[in-house]
Amino acid sequence: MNDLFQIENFSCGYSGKFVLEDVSFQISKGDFVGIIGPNGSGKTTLFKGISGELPALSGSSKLNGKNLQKMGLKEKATNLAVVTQTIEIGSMTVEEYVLMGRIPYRNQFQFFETAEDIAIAEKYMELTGVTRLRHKFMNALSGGEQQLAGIARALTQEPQLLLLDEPTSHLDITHQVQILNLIRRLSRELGLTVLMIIHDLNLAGEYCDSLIMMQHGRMRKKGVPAEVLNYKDIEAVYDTVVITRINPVSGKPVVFLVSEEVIQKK
Amino acid sequence: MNSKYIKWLLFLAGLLLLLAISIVISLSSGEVKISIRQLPEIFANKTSIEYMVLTKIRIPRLLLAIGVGGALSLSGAILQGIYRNPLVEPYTLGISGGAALGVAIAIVFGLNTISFLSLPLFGFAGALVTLFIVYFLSVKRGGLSINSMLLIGVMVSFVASSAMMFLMSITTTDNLQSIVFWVMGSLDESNNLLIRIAFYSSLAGLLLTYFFAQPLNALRLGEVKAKHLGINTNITIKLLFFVASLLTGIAVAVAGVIGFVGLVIPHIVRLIIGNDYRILIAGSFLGGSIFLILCDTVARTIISPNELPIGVITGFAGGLVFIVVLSRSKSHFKLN
Repeated sequence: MNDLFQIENFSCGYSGKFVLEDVSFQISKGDFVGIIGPNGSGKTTLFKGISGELPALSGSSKLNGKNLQKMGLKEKATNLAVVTQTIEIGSMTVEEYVLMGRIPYRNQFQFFETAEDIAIAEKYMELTGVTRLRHKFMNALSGGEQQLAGIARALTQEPQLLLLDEPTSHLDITHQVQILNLIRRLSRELGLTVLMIIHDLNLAGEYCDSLIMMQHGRMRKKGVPAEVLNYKDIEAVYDTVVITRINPVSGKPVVFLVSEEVIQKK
Repeated sequence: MNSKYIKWLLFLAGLLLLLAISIVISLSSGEVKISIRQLPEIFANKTSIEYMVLTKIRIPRLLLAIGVGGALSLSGAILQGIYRNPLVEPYTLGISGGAALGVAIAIVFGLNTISFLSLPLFGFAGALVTLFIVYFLSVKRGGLSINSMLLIGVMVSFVASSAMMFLMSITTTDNLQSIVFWVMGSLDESNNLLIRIAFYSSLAGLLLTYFFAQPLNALRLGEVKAKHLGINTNITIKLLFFVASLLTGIAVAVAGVIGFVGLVIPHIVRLIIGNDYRILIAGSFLGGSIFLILCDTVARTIISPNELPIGVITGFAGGLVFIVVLSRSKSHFKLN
């Protein structure tokens, strides 16, 4: 069995408020999985449930057979790294920020970075291409550069599972593609397992090995992009008319939107 | 070695040198002038007046300045860190308001005549009670809501100051004067035990805070992200809040309300050396000590033989220095 991450009948949230209900799926090592679904469908709640920000109500989420809910915060941080949409940090250099990824490996009495910490941080700064920015302040970076620094920091935690919350939102296509290419490469070369929330269905279909489609706090569908990105499911979940075709070069599904005016004319 | 650590080391060495200089200035100025060259001689001859002046008056006062200045400034640095808010200082949380109210109650009901410990004890009790009120009012669902804690602190502070003003308006002129004098703050404390308690407990606070240098650094990213890095933010914030409150409580109990140190000194240290708590903790403590030693020296010599309330000097000096530093620094000011 090579499932790195398993989530079974998982529900989380605060009862009375929006809760995620009965989600089950498995991810194999090295898989790049996208989570799609409209706003309010439970994508972020699922992330918070996995990372432990929201309490689990029932079910389990296991990483390498170990229950994440019962794992200590430090141990969890060495197995699971999260990159959030925005990084609100002012006067901290990229290098300092990336080195923060080594905090879970440090004990309370250790004040200084070890040579190993620095070597690991340098390796991932190199890999993500932020080495040239290392002495810049985080708030002086563009959105795309910040995301890269965020990914470098997460990799420095040397996790087994990487959670990415919309890494490409607010970015132009150059940076969207740059970041997704990087993540694709990381999952291939390092065997890194990635779970990513993504709004753009076309990017999701192009890059991810498989997709999880969320609706009303539940999982509606899971499978390879060609199965999940069909017009029936998309129209049902997003309440929007779409047309799906196949990308002639990559063979991946592409979703087209059609304006109201055109639909009425047909 | 890493150039960052060399910079920190130089910064610390500079601060220690400044501390030494301000200690010498403080010990030599006052009614009885003592020059540095006389010091070895004076310590050899334990019967001289100068020796008495140094050991009975100036050195205890110096220790108190080091302890109180360090405690207030460190407490400010901690609170700014856990609240991620640059305007927070020990007194924003109502701790000093509570302490002042405690002291006012003691004075109004004549309890200050019972023992020399009455006022410090009531001050400390007032600080602790406020702290518990702020703390328990803002505990929500097992977690602390940082913003509500701040707001409740500000409100408690207002309530306490209203209660104090009420007491002041119904009491005698003598009592009123005692309260006002206490509220203005002073390092004129004659009890050796209190001085030692303040000095050692602030050093203990400094050591204790160092155990939280990494968590404080992680908190610069925000609570949620610190948690993602394996920091138990709930426990960390609670413990640091207690350390900061105890530091403030003790400082206020012994020296009254001395404003500005906790707000200004950590910010100046941040501007010079950056926001890494591994250096900021020691930097703030030493900076606070140096600042208060110098302010106290000015306060007790400028209109000698009378003494100015030290809060007057800290406010003027701190405020002016800060405005100058801030307007000269090219990079705009950022806390995190």
